[in-house]
Amino acid sequence: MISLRNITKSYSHGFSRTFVLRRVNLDVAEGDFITIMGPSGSGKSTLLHIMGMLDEPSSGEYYFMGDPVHTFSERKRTDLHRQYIGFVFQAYHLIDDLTVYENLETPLLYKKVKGSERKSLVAEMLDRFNMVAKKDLFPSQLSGGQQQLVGVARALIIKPRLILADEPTGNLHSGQGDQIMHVLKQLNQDDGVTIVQVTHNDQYAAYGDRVIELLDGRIEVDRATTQEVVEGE
Amino acid sequence: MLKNYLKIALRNVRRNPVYALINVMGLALGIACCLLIGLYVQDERSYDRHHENGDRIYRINQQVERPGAEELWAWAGAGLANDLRADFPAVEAVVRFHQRAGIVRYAAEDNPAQSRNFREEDFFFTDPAVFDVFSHVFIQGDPTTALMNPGSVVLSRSTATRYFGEADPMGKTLTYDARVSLQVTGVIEDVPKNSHLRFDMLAPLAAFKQHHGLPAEAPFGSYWWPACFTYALLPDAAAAAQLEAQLPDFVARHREPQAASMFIPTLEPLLDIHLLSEAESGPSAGGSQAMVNIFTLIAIAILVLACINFMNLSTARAAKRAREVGVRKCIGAHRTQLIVQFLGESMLLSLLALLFAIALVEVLLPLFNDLAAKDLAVGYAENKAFWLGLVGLIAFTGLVAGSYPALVLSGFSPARTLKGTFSKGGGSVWLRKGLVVFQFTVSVALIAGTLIAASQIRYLQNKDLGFDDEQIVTLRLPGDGTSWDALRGELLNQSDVLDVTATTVPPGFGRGGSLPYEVEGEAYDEDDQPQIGHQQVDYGFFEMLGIEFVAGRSFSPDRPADEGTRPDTTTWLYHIFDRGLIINETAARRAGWTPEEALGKKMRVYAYENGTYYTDIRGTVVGVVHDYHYNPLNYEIRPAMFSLARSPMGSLVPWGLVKVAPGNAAETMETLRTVWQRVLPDQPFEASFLDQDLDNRYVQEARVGKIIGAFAFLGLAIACLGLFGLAAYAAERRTKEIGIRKAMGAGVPNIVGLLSREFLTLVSVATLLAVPIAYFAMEAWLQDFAYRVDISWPIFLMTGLTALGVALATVSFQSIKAALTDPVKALRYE
Repeated sequence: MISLRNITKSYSHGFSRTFVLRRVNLDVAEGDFITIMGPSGSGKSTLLHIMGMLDEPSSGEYYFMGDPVHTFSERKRTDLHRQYIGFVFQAYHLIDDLTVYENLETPLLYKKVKGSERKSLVAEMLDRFNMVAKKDLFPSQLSGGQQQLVGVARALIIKPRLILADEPTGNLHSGQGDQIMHVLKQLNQDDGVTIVQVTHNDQYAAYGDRVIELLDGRIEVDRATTQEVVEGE
Repeated sequence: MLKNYLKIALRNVRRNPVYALINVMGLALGIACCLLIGLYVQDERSYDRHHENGDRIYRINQQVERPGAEELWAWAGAGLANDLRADFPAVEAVVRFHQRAGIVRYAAEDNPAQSRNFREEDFFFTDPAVFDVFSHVFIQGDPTTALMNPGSVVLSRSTATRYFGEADPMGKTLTYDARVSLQVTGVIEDVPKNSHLRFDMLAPLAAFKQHHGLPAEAPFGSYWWPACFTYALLPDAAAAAQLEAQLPDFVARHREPQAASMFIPTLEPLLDIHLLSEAESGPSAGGSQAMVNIFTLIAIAILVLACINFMNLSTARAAKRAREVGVRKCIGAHRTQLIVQFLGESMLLSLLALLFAIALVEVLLPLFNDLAAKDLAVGYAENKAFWLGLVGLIAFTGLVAGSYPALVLSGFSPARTLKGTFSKGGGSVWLRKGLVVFQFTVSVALIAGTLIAASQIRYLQNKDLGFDDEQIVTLRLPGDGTSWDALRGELLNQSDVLDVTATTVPPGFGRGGSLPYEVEGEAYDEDDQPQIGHQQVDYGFFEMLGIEFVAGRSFSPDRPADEGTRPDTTTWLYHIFDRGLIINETAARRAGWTPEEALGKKMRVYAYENGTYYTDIRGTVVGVVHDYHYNPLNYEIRPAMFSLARSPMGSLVPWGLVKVAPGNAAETMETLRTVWQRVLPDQPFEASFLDQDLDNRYVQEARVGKIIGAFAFLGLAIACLGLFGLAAYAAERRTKEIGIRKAMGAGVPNIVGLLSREFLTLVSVATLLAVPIAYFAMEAWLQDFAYRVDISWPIFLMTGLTALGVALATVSFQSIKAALTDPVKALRYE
């Protein structure tokens, strides 16, 4: 599904140059559940953003479902990610001025989905995450876990083929974190949605089937997770 | 999608009411200014457009090329019209207007109590074709025949009401100057205010002949007299150009070579007259394209100031909304969609502002009308331009105010904004500072300009005019000298009347006109005839005004010989010889005499045309007076000559001057009125104090000054609103810094200084920029005055300090609020 070739990302500060990613090569297959780990500043988020087409690499090639994304215009990239990719953020990033219902609806508006279909899709999501009673509340009226549930629901509503999650549990206590991870796992197993997550938490890393460890912008380790650790049930 | 944007926009307003209020109120003020000025400009541009033939009517001016004087006169003698019609078949019609104020009396036979008399300033004699050429709405009477009869008169509706009340005016008889009977043959709607030529009464020129005792068949042959505003109806502009090219030849055929080369008729389109005409002594001066341009510029400037607030506050808030941009991009928003969203928001706010602006216009219009001496109304139902203007304004303000934030915000990279490392971006900070500087430069320059204009007007009003204008009442007299001595005698009998005299023009109200003169024994080049202003005065004129003699003596009743003699008693031409003459110092100096040398010189002033001396006054200089400003201060003091208002041809005293004892002005006026009504029961009493009249000479300049001043302060208010908002955001942005500084021991004054310094620097820079702008603009304006103030630095210092003070007050409210917050609270967020 994703194929990264020699992806480099660097920033110049006056005369010096900082490399965030150095010649990263990575393939993600449809249905994978990948965890990216590594210390702060190792380039995890940047890699995720590049995969999500929110950021452009300084050099290198990026193929998404066979398309050469690195040659696309911003508009074409947006069309692509609007179609296939859902995001979940550590800080939830809901729109403060919109209610739960409206937050869920917005991606559909950008996709130009018809009114009646929009309604049923949002209703379905609210139902699935048990948030029907909260649909008219604003994000500030929800707990962190509830906000992140909305965030996940918003990512799912466009029926993405790929979900990129940037420390989705980072701001949550363990109970809420478990719940979110559970949802992601289910999506991966039941619907075949490809998931790439960034996390610091070894326990949550074990939900995936492959771990990539970054250090100073390079892939240090690329290994499969051992099934016993999963769930711990 | 739209619904979604709208929701966001409205919730934004609700969540940041101060920000929204500043934006909306600032924009509303700006738009209201624009609308008011728009109405003003619309009115100025609408002059004379109600005439159906408006684009085919041309006024015939005279280009005067005399040595030392290049002038354009709005008038020509009645003779020109006759020859024009005879020579050019293309001229469809010619209409003349001769303005002659007179006393009009209605004597109601059956009920004397209903008799009325008024002095009619806007009384015109005209040609019967007037209603074919110009469009006027008849309420009663027939436009084609109304002025056919020499004894007919057409009144405006309000004039008719003034004389006859509710009664039917048709067929009633009015008496003009006690000499001519005029029967009302028509009533028209009042001439619209936006007409350059406005009249209350129209009578045929034939009635003018009656008034002057001329036979009906007497031709008007003179190109001088009677002076008429002459309008020709032509087929089209091409015909006008063709006609104008032939006018020099035309005038050469009909006038003596010298006059033909000096007075060249030119055409001026009717629709240009109000705003573009540079002709002198035309009716209804005051329209000026320059003024319209200046006002338009001010309107745009103020709107831009308000738009800048919008941009500044939006970019200042960018950090807050950057995250929303990032999120929206993550969930699939195109950049164009975000641009549409932000532009939509600014359009919505400008629409909101528009509603406030319309309310403001409703409130401010009466004040503005007062200020501008206009009678403007919006006319919501029929004013298409107004609605078009509104739509244009929303689009303009929405686009201009919203474009920068829309373009900048939508360009944020989602990866960076969401990481939380988004910083304000150096570029937009500098832009913001630049825009604040621009705002204050405009406001300070406008205010400094206003203050300079005000000081010039004060200077004009307070300047020593060279005569004493206190406690003098001017009286409008019948003008033909009737009962003058009787009135004078009666007035002098009153205890609070100190002195009485008369003049052809009150001091300070000269029109700058002059006549050629000769001195006996000296030869003159015909092309370089010296000119002198001529004025007639009664005994005691110089004494009452405290004008002192440098040499010689004044006029006095003991020396009746000063009145002069008539060389030919059969002619009605104004020829008087052997008069006593008084000249001013400038006249003596121009002639190369010391005041003493001037005494005894024999002089002659005259008005000559086509072989006829219409005026010929000769006499001997008996006195030289100190210079005084007999013209308004737009003119330098020019050579002037005075002769007695009394002569063997009767008195010529349109103005009486009465020196009264200090005391109760109202009582004094009542005394004068009582005397007047005893002596001149049929004449309206019109009196005013000379010093007030003199102050009112500059009412036009003062008015423009006040309007610009009002808008200058509005501009400052808008700029301060913006500053207030920016200061609020600066304080908010620096909450953490303030907390740290306080934790480290900074006091409230330190913090206030810290927060205020940046803004005060900007305002100071703006003041420095505004000084040269205001200086050069106002220098250009002051060039028009012969007597003027010098622009002095205290005005700029004062303006600068005012701007700084207002800015400080605006900013410090926020700064002090921020400085007083508990540091613990400020730091807790981290």
